[in-house]
Amino acid sequence: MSHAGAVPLAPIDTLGQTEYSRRTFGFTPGKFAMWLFLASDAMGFVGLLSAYIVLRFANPSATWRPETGNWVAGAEGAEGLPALAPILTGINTFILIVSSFTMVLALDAIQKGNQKGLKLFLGITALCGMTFLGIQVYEYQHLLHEGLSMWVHPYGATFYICTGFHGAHVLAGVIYLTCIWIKSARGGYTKENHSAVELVGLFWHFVDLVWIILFTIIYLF
Amino acid sequence: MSEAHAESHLPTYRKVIITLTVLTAVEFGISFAMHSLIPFVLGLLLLVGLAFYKASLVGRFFMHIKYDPSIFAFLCVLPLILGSPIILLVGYDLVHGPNF
Repeated sequence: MSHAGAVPLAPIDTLGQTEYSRRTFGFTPGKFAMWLFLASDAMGFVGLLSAYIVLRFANPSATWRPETGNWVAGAEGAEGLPALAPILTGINTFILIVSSFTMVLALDAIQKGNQKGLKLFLGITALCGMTFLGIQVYEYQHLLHEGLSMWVHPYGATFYICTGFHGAHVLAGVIYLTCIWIKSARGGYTKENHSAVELVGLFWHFVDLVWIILFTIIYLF
Repeated sequence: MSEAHAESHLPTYRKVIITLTVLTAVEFGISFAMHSLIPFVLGLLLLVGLAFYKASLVGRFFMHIKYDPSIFAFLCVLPLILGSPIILLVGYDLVHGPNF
């Protein structure tokens, strides 16, 4: 992997550790660390999804979401628990996919030295993340109003834990993106120095990737 | 991103986002068809297959696994390798355990 055979490397103390690592191994220490973090974070999602799957499929489909019975204390009706709204969440999924696209556009812009493009596309990405969270909060409010809470049934518990854990990641991503956007607005990134943009991009794409699987398993079955 | 692929991948990114959007629409179609037109197990397999294919597109192209050193591809697969015992054990529970 070393390029030392083709081009003699400058000593590490003249390049700095990050640039030395990039030229020697093809990636920066920060990127490797982010990938390690994402790999460990993915284990959390694997555990939660496994729990969801065993609870979901250990129940006959007729009883997974109770369609009859009075599940809410004090409620007059006996209509069971509310169904999820795949259409609304499908729109949310599309918003997250678009935000992944604008994230790669932001990275592409700064790789060409286009700071204006970086600011624009990072801003759109953060806005998409906020919109996603807004729709998720709206969905939670609606479902809670209809009587679906974490405590009434495993259907509610698994739904809120899986989507809430992901939502926390989206919130962290939006905060992370906003920090990077503020620095980019101050001209903090250049064509040569933009590894932080690549790292926030990796985190954001991971959030998108996980949602693609969560959405299918939780909303479409 | 390594120097070897510093060129723009914009056309590829456009194709990926179009593919992701179309496949999401296809998933909706399968989801609705599962209740009437196609068997549940077939629909389930199709949906899971499509979801993992979409996730792989995001990983390969947006996260640059396709262009970066192969150690990142390994790190990407590592959670699945480490998580497989969990999946196998919950699968065992699913078949042999009590209903919850």
